[in-house]
Amino acid sequence: MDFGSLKRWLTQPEVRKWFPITTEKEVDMMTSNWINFSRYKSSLTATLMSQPIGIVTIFLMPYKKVAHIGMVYIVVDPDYQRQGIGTNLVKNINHLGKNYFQLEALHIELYSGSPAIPLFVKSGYYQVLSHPDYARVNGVKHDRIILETNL
Amino acid sequence: MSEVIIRPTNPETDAAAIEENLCEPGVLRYFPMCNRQEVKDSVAIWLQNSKKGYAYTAELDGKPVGMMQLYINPQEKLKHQCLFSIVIDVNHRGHGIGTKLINHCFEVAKKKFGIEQIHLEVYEGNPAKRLYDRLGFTEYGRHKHFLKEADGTYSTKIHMLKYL
Repeated sequence: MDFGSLKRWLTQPEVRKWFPITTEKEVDMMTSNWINFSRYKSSLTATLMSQPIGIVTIFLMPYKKVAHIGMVYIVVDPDYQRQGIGTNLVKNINHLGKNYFQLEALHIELYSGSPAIPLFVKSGYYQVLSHPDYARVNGVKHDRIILETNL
Repeated sequence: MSEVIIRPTNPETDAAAIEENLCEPGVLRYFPMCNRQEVKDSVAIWLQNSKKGYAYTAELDGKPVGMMQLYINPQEKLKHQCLFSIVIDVNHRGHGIGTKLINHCFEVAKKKFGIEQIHLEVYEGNPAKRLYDRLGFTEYGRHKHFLKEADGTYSTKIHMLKYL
């Protein structure tokens, strides 16, 4: 159920532009990689009347020396954005990272201009760095912004 | 001194040398891996890159003394830039092998794969940073507390880039 929802959201152009996905094949690969983290119980889904409306996931790091930090991926159903669902998901994933996985920090990589940046800043994340010209979206170059929070 | 030859990495014959190089304590401390099993996992990725033509080996007297891999992104939005990693045998440092290997890979990245920007991640204290400075890389950010050693101490990850 969540796989289908995630794939449907990532397919929509206004969502897709903020992720490293362009083709259907890229959407499929990203959806599979993302949903695979649910096996580690590091993924949370927001539901409304039993229907998924948002997903947030911690991508856990494979090596011990970096196992104290996790990388966050988030998407909210475009029909339910700007209603506080993202804020709620971030709050819950911070809690999960700290209390269940004993992580010390979470970070997220976003493209400059992403509507998720103000959401994370509001939730206490701060900018670690900005990587110039990292992504090219419809001919326009975007920076890669890394935001982080200490748990 | 014999001539250093740069050739594509051979996944079959170079794997052991990459693993041994990375397992040297003075090398491993500057990588995110911490033991042989983690090194083996990382070498598997290295070999995948070599099968795609993204990895090169520096050879001296028939023996591998350095390797470099390009993480070429298959995604449309990211394919104009790539990350790279490099390791040079501790016994063959200071002879320009790293510079030669890096310059070769830059040529390949630009001409064969259309890479416009190449970037790297180096941990604070790694002497290789001087080489990157000399090659014209500029720092664009630092990620503090990125590595955590078994003794609880942290290292900062320095991010650098260069336009080709």
